[in-house]
Amino acid sequence: MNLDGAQILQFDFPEKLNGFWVHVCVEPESTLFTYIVSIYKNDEYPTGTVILSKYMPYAYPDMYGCFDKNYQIQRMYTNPIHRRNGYWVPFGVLLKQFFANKFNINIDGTGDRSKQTDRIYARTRAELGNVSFVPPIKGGRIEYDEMEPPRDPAFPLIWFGQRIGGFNE
Amino acid sequence: MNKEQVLLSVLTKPVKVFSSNVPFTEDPTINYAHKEIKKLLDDSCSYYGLSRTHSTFYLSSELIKEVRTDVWYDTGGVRIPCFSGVYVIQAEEGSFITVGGVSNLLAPGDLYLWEAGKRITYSHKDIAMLGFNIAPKSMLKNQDLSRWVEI
Repeated sequence: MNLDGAQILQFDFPEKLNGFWVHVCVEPESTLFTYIVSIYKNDEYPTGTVILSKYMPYAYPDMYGCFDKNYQIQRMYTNPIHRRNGYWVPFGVLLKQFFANKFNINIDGTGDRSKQTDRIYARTRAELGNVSFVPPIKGGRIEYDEMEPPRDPAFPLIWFGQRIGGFNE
Repeated sequence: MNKEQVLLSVLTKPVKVFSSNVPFTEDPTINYAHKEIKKLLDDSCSYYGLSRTHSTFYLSSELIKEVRTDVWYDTGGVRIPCFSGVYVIQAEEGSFITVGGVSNLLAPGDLYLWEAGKRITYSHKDIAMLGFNIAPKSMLKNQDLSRWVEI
């Protein structure tokens, strides 16, 4: 535990996730979200570090997931420079096991998920041995084109730091 | 246009980038930069019709050692009353920053402040800066206030 009361834990991440560390904002002041997971790929902390804190990080994450009151992940995002690398499946497995062991919480995907997240969901479930299943909602996001989530999906909880928004045309 | 976009267009004025230069040779301290940022914030609040007396604003920063030129950036808070800016530490001659379509040359000591959320691009990658953000306290939910300073 550090001076801010954050818990700093260390895990063995799979080789595919070398360079990554995770910050979990626990029970933020939000009417929508219970946990906000910010995932970073840099050398600020060693690979496999997981920080549990009441604070939102200042820096914009490379990936994030926002969990609602039912512990379903409502928003997911990946920095454009890290897309198509398949990072979400191993993180899905890790986070599922981490939340079960640490908080006794069964996190899951939302039924209102896009085509892309539905593929990630299916692959993660397969890795986990086809555990619980939330069916996609009829008429939900899965029937529409993929959309970029808003910059600050957990507003008024904000990551302030400069982020890469996309590639120049 | 949905309701949120209408609100945005009412709130958002054309991009205006407020600038100053903090001479390294005369006074290299961060305190000097802090004072200059405060002046730019006063100008910005006046431009956007925001009250400096009714809201307490806070400032935080991050060191940006290099940037990419093939991507665009943005910052948090996405519009007023949040502001973003850079304080240039090192930049190649001829380097410039483009904020919401408005380009400005970058030289050591230059200070720029703009409404948060604008699209930012850089012309050169070897630019060292302090990137900073300014927000009223009401928008700092769950932020660690020990890394923010009142301005």
